[in-house]
Amino acid sequence: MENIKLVMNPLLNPTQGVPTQIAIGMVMLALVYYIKRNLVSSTKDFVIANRKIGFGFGVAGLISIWTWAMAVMMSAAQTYSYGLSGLFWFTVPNGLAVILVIPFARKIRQIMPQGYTIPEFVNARFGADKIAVAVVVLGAMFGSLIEVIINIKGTSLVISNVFGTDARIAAIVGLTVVLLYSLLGGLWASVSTSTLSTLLHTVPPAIIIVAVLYTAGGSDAVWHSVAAQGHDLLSVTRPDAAMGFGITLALGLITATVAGQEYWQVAWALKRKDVSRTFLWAGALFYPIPICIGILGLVGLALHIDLKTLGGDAAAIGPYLISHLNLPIWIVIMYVVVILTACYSVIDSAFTAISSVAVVDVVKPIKPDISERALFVWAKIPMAIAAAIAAAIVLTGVDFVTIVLTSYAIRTAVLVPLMLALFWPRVTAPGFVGGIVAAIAIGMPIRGIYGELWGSIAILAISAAVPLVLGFASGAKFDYAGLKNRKDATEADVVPAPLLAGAISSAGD
Amino acid sequence: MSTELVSIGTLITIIVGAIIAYYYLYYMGAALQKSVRTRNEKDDGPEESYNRSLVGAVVSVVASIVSIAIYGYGAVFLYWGPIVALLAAVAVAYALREEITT
Repeated sequence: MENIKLVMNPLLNPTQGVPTQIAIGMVMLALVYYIKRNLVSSTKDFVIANRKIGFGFGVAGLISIWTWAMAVMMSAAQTYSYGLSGLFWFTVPNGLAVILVIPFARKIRQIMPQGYTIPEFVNARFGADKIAVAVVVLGAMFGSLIEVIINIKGTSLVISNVFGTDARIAAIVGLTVVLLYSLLGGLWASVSTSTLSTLLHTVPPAIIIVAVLYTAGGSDAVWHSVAAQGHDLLSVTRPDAAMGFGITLALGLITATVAGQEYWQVAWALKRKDVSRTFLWAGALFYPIPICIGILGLVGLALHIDLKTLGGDAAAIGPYLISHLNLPIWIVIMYVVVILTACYSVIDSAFTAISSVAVVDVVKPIKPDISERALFVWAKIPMAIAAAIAAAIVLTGVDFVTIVLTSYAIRTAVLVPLMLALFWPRVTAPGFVGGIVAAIAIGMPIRGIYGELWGSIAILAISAAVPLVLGFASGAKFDYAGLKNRKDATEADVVPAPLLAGAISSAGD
Repeated sequence: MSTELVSIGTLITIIVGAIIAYYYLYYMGAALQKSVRTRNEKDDGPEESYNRSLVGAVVSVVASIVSIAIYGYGAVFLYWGPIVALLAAVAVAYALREEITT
């Protein structure tokens, strides 16, 4: 492999980055324009797709919504860092996290079939306890915003590494593109563009990896070069991968799906007979994406690429290889399209999650008599606000991996109280809120001192202990049957308890 | 200079991928049209009765572990990644097809 020279592809230049982003955006816009004309005419269509998402769109949409820039770039990065053990610990919990949503999605559709959001469930479950709802609204909004930030960082990282385009310009263009088509079609737009993206996350990576293996000297040369380095790089049993990132990531991934509004909204938007098998198929069919793209990490190891060459960021191994391996330029563009569509599909899903929480849990409770037309407008405004905040944060240049792990740690605090609230009738509002607040207040300092693994364990343990203790002490039992007949929140005659009374004027009316 | 030529293996992958993509997009378009046609119909289908989630979860997790571990057993297995990626697209196309036919 000594004759492989890694030099920046001379055909790539900064002027190609933005047009690539816009070209993808135009394709998505064309699809969403059709969606907008034929499927989206009300707030309910916009935020929950009128609960008419079928099996195929559900599976394809979920795969792409779950395929973050992380799945594409970090699968290669962890393989590059830990060998096959890195790929194992990155990949296996990832698909499992989607599958583990099944009991929760099934339960929520059974007990509250007309729901939209996690805060709406918490509102109904805890008798409109304002603090409980406020905590979960903030958690949902923060979690979705972080998803936007992480993935727009992914967009800018790839565009700047591959084409040399200014990362800030790439971030702004990416956000604008996704915002435009998200504003048109809401959840239908998210699911349909994600279905198209799933095709782009499967077929092109297969072509790219075959081409990369050939260009890197063939699979024999790559495999033997990695094998010769030892360090159990071709084993899945290296304990340092589990301790270094695997267990923490696994906990965080499960939190991201089970406590993620993006997945609950799909659970509520699917046709009711398809909920379980849609999540099962999505989790199972997600696996091939990182399994395929992770090979880039092995190629990076085989070619002895130094971490310093990547600017100290292992996540850059994929973009670096693709742009320096003397590949045909259309392969390079294809790789960029894979990552950009991965980023875009997560961002549009997060925008929709923000929109549904804003409409159902903020706007509607404050102004219950709001007209359908005004509500439809309000469904779009939070997307634009989220895009503006994300742009402001991304332009400050925060570290990519640190954001990912920090956001996961915070969401971890919500996981167990939410699970308990769904299945255990004795959870009380003070237990729910106390568990989340205590877990963050005590667990985060522990995480800071003893590291991510112990911090995550502490957060989970505290967030479980508080609601359990207070639940057993209280003895009160919640009757889930009352949730079954709860009406659709976007219908005019539903008046949930006010959360932030007076905060919203009649804007949009 | 980078070459625009590719290996035979890449060419075969492109051809197979193009065929899969054609059917995927065909079924996606048909499923979309069905969604438009049925947008005003009430979701009064049967209640959820799927009971193979646990078995499916175990099988998919074990299959993913084997798919990763197998890379360590020989160079030829590095092509397993592209193969399963293509198979995933086939499976999703099948799911889209089922959406049309049910």
